[in-house]
Amino acid sequence: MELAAWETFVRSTALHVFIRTYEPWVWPLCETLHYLGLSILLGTIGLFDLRVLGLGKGIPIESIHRLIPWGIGGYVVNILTGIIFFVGHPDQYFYNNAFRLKALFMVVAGLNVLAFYGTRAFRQLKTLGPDAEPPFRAKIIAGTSLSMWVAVLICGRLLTFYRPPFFH
Amino acid sequence: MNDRLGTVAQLIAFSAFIAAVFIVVMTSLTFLSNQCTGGTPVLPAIFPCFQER
Repeated sequence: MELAAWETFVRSTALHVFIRTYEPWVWPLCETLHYLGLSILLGTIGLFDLRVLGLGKGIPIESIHRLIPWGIGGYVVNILTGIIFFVGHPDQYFYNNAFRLKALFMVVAGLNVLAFYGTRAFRQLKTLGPDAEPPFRAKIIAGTSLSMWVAVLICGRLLTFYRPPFFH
Repeated sequence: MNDRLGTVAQLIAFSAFIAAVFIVVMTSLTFLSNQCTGGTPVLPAIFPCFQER
């Protein structure tokens, strides 16, 4: 079977050549950064979601929200390292159902962020006292966020089990 | 005592939540995998199956 045009293009890029040339160092480094990024993302955004869902009552939601920029930083690190993984071995990801699901969950998580900041949900949360019950809408958004990021984590771990046959 | 019980309940609920997400992911992956091994060929039209090289 011939390579698809998109894959031929990706394999012709300087980034692909660089990754494959220095793969013994580039790949472990990016994997390490990817794990760190996800840990920071889940450790901040996941914590925020859990607080909105009712854990840690007494801790002001606004205080935990100050950690969100760290989560965004982790997300950016993971997008960049994810691009390096994809460009390095495009077929390993493109023909991988775990990757497809992971991408789908990330899109849903992104839309969920828009729903959080684009509606009254965030403004309502900001004004809540430490022990106040968050609105139902905010809980739905937080639950969706936590579900999506846990699903992204699971899919990421399962990537190696759903690679095309020649990778096994 | 009540605090401890509350924490245990929350841990149990969180474990159940993780298990539920895991089951959804695995069920979806099984469904998608079957698409490329003789399942109803709907999704391969959108996401092509891998062909041996």
